[in-house]
Amino acid sequence: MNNSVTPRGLICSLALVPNPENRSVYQNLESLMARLQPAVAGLFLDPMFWCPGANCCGPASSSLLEEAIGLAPPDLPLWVRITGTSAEQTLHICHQLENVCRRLKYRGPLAWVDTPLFYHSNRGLPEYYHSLLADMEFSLIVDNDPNIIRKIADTTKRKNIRTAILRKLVQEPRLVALVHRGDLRRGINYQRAVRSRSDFLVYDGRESNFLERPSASGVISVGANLLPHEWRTITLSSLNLEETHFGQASTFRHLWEAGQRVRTLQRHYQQAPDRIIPAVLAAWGLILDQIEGLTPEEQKATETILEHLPES
Amino acid sequence: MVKPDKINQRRGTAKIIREAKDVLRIEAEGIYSLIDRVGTDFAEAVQWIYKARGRVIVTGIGKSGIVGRKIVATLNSTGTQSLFLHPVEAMHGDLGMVSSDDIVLVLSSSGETDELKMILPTLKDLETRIICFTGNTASTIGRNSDLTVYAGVEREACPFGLAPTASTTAMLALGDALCVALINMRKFQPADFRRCHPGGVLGERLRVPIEIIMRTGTSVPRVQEETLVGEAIKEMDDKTLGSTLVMGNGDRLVGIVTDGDLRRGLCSYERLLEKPVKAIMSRNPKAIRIGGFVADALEIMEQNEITVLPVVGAKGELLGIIHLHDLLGKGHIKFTM
Repeated sequence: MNNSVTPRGLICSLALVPNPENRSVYQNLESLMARLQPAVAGLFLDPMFWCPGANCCGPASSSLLEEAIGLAPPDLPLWVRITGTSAEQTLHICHQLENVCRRLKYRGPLAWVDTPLFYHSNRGLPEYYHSLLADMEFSLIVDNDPNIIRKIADTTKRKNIRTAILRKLVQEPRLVALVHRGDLRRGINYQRAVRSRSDFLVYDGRESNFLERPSASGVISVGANLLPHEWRTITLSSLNLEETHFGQASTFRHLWEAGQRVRTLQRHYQQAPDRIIPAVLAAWGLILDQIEGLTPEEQKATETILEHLPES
Repeated sequence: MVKPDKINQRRGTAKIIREAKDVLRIEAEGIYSLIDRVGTDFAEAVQWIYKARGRVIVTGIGKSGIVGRKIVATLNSTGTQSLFLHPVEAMHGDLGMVSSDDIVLVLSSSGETDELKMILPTLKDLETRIICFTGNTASTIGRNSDLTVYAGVEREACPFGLAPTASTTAMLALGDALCVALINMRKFQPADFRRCHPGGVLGERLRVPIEIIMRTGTSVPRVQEETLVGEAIKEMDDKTLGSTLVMGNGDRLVGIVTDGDLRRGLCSYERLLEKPVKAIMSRNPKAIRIGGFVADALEIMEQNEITVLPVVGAKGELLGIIHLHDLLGKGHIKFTM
């Protein structure tokens, strides 16, 4: 059992589909988790991925979160996004989920994930987090995602957490990691800013960054829903967590092929991973919900992936 | 109009440059990140090696093995006896080279290298102290070493871990830090380097006799004791060594005037230019006897923090002068090795 809530390695963001009728997604979750559990170091429940935009805090995603927490294997670290559309709503979601955890007697390593710039500016962020953490039971992971901020608020002055602000944020001991989804240069600056905390990890939230210049902390991957074992192979190798015997040509080839496979698929689903990946999982029968209203491009990408991976 | 293939070529070039810069940035950051992690464990490793009666046996496999060989070479050339032990050869008899007086330095990024894990029990039986450089201090090798030094990085520059890049650079840099710390502790001098390192550009340069590189004849700045400071400055200016020698009777060296003496003279005398140089010169300057080597001259310069050194004969007569730049091949004598 991994006791750390921030393990180095592969964190899989579950590709789930909330359904408006509030049906149980038990079968979806059970089959997906069984498939992922042997390969990943942690799981991420991310309503922002399931329901992009302001819908992420709706009742459908809340019930899905509750069900997912109940089904999560307690031996895997679990990350859950609590981001709301305001500071008040974020705190409300956090308290709601803490109650769920208490009710379900959840005992696994758990951390909340928040994208603060979704509802808060850089100004006053350290003070805000100081008070938020005082009201929280679990550790917090901060998510820097310029793309999502760009989508929801074009007028927002800053799309990224300022490096100087991050330097202040890491003075909070219960802030344990950063997920960075922006460009590599900023990622390097962030890593420099958090060096005062040797226990603080900076994960790559953008898969393509990890596939080119891997962070030594790990990666948040949604593609791991499709290729969990390939993602595990390249993550362990990239992080030097397992010895790689390059003297053996077969090892080298295996690693190269796994990497190429992951890269090829990533190119196909990156236009809309929140729709294409669940569509592939549905075609495999791993999740029961069908993804409706795919655009022709999304449909084509789904078919291409299914050609590469005819069965799970 | 620029042709499309030209545009593509330019884009390709820009991409190569951008990627190269990214890699260099990542590797540099890898080393930077270690600066904050160097602590008492590293200092203790240096102390252990410094006080060890035996040698440093460095071991590692793959890229870590290559880094290990470089560390061995640097240790040996800077006065610390060292050997490389290939872990596979170790399992087939080479462990016989290790004694309890030695210190074993294990290099492993993952800390889980099978070949190294296999030789650990024997090393423990030999009661050899084990120091480990690893990016994973909680690993099997990290936990089973007597001293574990963190040598990890925040990011690799190559995908899929196919070719360790920043991690091997960081380990190499940490190895250099170890060697340099030992050089300082051993008060290692250029003459020692020459003894251990007769080959190579530096070694070659250090064993050149000084008469080959010293300046002689009219290129030696010199004035008499009674020469006025104004004229001495002109001599210094003409010969471009930043100083002039001061001669007494019979071509005997009695002093030297440097830029520093001039500065001090300016503070002491209102009409400095009209004073004789003997009023401001430094008496009995450091000098080297003919017959010495570049290494000897360098040692005198380093110990006395000076940049020019007169060369004298057996009776103290002036024969020439050497500037620090001449020793480094940057002066008027070029080393073409």
